[in-house]
Amino acid sequence: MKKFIGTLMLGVLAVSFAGTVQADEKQTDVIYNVENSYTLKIPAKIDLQNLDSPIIGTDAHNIKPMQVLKIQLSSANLAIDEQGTITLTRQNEKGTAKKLTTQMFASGDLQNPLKKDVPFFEAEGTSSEGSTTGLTFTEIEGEKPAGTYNATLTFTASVEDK
Amino acid sequence: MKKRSMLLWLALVFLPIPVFAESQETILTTTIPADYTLTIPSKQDVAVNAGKTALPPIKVSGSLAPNQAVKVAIRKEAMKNKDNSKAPELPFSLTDKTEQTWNSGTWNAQDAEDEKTVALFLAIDKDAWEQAKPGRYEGKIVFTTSIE
Repeated sequence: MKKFIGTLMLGVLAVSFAGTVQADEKQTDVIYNVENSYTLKIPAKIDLQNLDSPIIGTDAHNIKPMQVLKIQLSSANLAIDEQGTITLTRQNEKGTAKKLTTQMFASGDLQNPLKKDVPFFEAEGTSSEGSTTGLTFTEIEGEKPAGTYNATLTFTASVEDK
Repeated sequence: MKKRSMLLWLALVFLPIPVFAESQETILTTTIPADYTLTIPSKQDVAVNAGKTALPPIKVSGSLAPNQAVKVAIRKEAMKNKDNSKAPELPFSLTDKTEQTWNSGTWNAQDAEDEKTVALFLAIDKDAWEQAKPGRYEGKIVFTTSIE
């Protein structure tokens, strides 16, 4: 009988102990964010007389998944019209400026000249060596009076969601 | 507290994510070289005792850059008697239409485009003629051009 009472008490104690345990789960999110990074490879000067296979792109890039780096001609380019014709203006002009024209192409596509606000280069993922595309130009057109002709091209790079 | 968290969450979800764009410039350039022609007389006969003989006008024509000019300079070789090596030389000078001595001239880009001409005269002093001996005299004018 004593043994029974002892067992019963142990059982009651055990039950009441089990009844006081409370589980409270909470989560901790560990976050480490690596921002997009890229180094653009854009030629400072392109000499159409001595064209040395100009290229454009990145020296390296590290772009988040579901995003893409795009390069395009800026809408602010005054030397390019809507058809992608680039106008070079003679320097040191005293009278009416003489002009020459050309068109620029990328990726060996000689059918579609590069136009403002239309991306022509994209880079995704991570590359320590970067990626590039070649630029080509049509033969200079115009009367060609002697002189040095310049045009300033502004390229814009931005990362966008896919 | 929960309300503030909810507002913050909604703000994060619905705020537009800005796209950062970076711009860089490229200078596109080409140079068309100067191309011009100097026109000069190849031969000019001079009448005996002529003090002033008009030469065909010289000109520079063609295409120069706006900041370029063609300078034309002359070098004279006095007229020598080809039949009598002991005869004195017959010195001469070149003058322009204002009778100023002309040794060089400059054509800028507009002058070359307009094909500006310069009238020149070959002048021989009366004293020089008086010293001349019978025979055929020949001299030379060398025109040299340079781009400045």
